Amino acid sequence: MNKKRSLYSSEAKWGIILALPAILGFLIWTLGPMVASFVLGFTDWNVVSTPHFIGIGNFKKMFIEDFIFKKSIYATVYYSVGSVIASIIFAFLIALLLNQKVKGLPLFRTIFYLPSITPAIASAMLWIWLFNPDFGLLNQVLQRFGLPRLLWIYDEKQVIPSLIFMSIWGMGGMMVIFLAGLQGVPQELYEAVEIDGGNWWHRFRYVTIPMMTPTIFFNLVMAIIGSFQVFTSAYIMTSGGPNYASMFYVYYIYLSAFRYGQMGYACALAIILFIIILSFTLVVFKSSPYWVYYESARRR
Amino acid sequence: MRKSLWVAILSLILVVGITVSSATAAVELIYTYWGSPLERDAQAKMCRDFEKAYQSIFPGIKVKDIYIPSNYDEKINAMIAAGEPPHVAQLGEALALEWAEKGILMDILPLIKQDKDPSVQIENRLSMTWYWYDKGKKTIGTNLAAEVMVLWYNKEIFDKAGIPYPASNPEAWTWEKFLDTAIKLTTDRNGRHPGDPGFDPSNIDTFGVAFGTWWAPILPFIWSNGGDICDPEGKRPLINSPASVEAIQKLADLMLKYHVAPTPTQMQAFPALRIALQTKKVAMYIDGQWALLDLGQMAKEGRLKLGVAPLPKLRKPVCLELGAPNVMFTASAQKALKESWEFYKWTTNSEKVISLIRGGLWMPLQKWYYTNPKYMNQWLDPEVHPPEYKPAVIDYLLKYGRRSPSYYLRNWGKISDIMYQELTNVWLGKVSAKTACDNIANKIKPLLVGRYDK
Repeated sequence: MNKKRSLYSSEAKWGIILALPAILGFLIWTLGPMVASFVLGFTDWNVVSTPHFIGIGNFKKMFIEDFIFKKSIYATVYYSVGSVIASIIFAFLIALLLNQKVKGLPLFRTIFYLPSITPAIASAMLWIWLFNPDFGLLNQVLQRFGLPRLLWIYDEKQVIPSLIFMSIWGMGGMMVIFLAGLQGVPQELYEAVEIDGGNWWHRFRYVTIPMMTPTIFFNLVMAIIGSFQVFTSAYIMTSGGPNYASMFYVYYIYLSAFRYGQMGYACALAIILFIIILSFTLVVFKSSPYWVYYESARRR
Repeated sequence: MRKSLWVAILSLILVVGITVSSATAAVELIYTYWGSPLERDAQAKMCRDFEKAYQSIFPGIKVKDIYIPSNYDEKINAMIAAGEPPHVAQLGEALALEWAEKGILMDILPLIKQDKDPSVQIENRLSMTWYWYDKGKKTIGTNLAAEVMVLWYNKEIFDKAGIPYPASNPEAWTWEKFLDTAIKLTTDRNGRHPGDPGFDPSNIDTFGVAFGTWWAPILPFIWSNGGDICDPEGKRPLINSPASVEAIQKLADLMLKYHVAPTPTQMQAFPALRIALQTKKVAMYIDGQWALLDLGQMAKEGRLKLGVAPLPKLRKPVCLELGAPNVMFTASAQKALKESWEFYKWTTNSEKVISLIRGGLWMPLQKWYYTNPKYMNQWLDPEVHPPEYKPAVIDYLLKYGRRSPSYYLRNWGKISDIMYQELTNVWLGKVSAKTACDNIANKIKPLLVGRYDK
């Protein structure tokens, strides 16, 4: 008995020691800066001088004076809602297609996955060319079909839909997860539907979708978190323009911190972003019992 | 056994520590800068030259030159936050004066007053290049180099079309002549010019002129027309005054009405503007003097017949002078004041970086380079600098030079960003210059809180 306990405690000790690099890394590089940034959000710190505590001054400024803040909230929420919905639907559809037994399946899977391993800068540069109103491929296609040319990312109203469109292109990671989920759907359930005389729609609606809800749930949460942190397209492609229409929130945090030298204000902006992402994620989590089906859990 | 191991390790650390610290007892200055690879080589050489020249005065002195080609402000911020800013550094003009006021950067006026070196005296450098603050009582110094906005052109295109070159005299080079020249030089695929029947604006082979849409190519025209971004006190917006609006509209008309200049989206089809000039995609283009680094190289190799002219005048000629300051950081420089000061003077003494100036990238700071023929010959390379360079650039600067708002206006970074964002809709023809300028005026009003130097 005693020997067993000492074995456990020695295991625990070594477990902690061996996990220490990861634990320390988390504390020093993640939790520490998070706490620091939370505190700094209530100061006027500009990196170069000592911070002064200014209470909720930054937040007052944000909500009352700062027109860029409002534009960036609008642009980011618009983008997030659009890109999350669009990429989940597309990734799911593509995964369904790639789950069929067709010739050249590995090739197709590679093709659809490829964009998500392309470096963000390279794909942004590529899309700048595709979006060009004067000679871009997209407008050439529209013209071929007799449709009017668009200004894409050069127009205040079209820039966010354009970037959502572009985000669909990078849904490869999500697609792979869906594909894995689809392959985990038990075959016998489909057979049961067939025995009951169900057609493809019944199979899809009453087996595939319910069995996929945990995967959809996972992808949804990850996509929400990821889309609120969109940065590259604003940084590389639009500089937040035209007229601040694509001033994504994280890009604005970056500008505030490093271009305008207002680190305290940038930290305050980051706190707001944290609250936004947290509440969206919580809503999704809270809603999950109503629509996510786990085989092991009983439905409420 | 274990104890002795620890003792051994500790003493080893101690020994290594002592050796390292004693080896670095001599002063090591930190210098940070950005720029092209060519600038890096020249600046690094300048640092090595300094080390050699000052070895007898400061034995063992070293300059650790840190080249930061991208995300410069972030890295400097991090160095300051860590309590180890560079001693001397090139710095973005948007942050410099704000930091100066907070005491992060050194006021070098007392140092200048104690020094006999003519190259650093206030009256010996172009007066426009000094950064003043605290109501003009303090200065962080000058730019690393002078720069102006000019009009570059390809003489071959002019020769072929039989059109006279732009006038080198800023008074004679009017907007009307400029527009007329641009129209004649703009040709579509069928060789037609704007205004000709059947001219096809969507298939233009050669544009008369091209310019970027950031603030530096725009501002001189606003000034030339008698307009401004704000009043001289930096308190009240003037960007929506009729003179400012008219200048911006005229620039937009070049793209949208006359089709002699590419819109920002058309420009994407272009290679870099210097290549566009060489390959005759554009006949003239507005850019900084610094473009001469590449253009001059092409001219030297006989690939381009390069010409340069002042910017056309709307009402009166104006030459925009701009740049980024070289500064001393208080926290570090105070610890090695003599060394830092000598090095600061060295970096802003144009003689020490004459290769970059002769190559076309920079213009010198000391006045004698502009007036004394002996010194002029040191930096004007006839193979690089076009023959009309003296009247079109030097005289233009000396007579009509006006320093950019980055030298004095508070919140300039934000103000120029707002201008850029709002004006994008003008270049696309979505809104008139008047509408955009009214929006800018409203948005920059709370940011107009005066000047650093007044």
